[in-house]
Amino acid sequence: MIERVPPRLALWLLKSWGSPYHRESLAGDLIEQYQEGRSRTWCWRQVAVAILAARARSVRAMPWAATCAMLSRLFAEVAAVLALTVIVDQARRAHSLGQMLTESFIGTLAALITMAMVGFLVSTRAGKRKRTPAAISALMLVFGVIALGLGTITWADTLRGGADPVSICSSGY
Amino acid sequence: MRKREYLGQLELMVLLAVIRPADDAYGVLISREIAQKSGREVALASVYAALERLEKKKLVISSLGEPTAARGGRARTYFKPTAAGLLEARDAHETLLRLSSGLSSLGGETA
Repeated sequence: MIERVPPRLALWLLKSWGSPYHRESLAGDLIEQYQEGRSRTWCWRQVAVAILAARARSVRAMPWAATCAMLSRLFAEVAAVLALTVIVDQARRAHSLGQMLTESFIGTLAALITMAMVGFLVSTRAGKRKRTPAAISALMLVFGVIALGLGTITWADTLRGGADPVSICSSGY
Repeated sequence: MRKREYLGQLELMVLLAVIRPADDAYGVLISREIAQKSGREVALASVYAALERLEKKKLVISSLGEPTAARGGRARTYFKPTAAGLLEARDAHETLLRLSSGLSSLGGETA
């Protein structure tokens, strides 16, 4: 008796992409039915249904809250790193604090800090965490202090009727 | 109060097909039973998906058989209804009977 063997690729796809629930038994059932005279088309259809059903289920079961929390955390971290990079870069270019505090620098920094804080806030809420970890709280506090400090300096400079610090420095003041 | 989870049509058909044979219900047999009794061919993967949901609801239990060469060295998984599964099937059957009674267009008994 010649043994009929279902397409190897179909079985491999079933093993790789099918649902893990009694996967081997399902493959065995396919082999059993195929040997009883089912066609290759039937076999491929069964595998296609198995893969589609498994993928659809995995998409439905995706933890959206956790994914959202992870993405916003990533977004916040990128914004925080960019903010630090902007500070370091500006400090290297400027020769004094006054020269460092340009409008574009403060604006960029404020935007990045806001993005980082919103990101951390969203990630904490989406992850439904009861408590924010100490490291994140400390980081948020540092950014908050920097943002407040920069805001105060800019405000004080504006009250003094101050001209643009860059122009003051470049004019040799 | 426990929130009751109603069975879907396929789940109910699979549960009834599991109950029908004495003790050797497995994928092929369940799928064949449904095809014979309902005239609808159901994919094996759909049968297993329904069985997974039923097992999650503790309405059926599964046990692994011996691997055989005819199945490429793969074992059969046998399914049995639990007491809760039998009760659920009976409830669903009675509900359907109550709902369909008096519907002359469905051939039900007149009230």
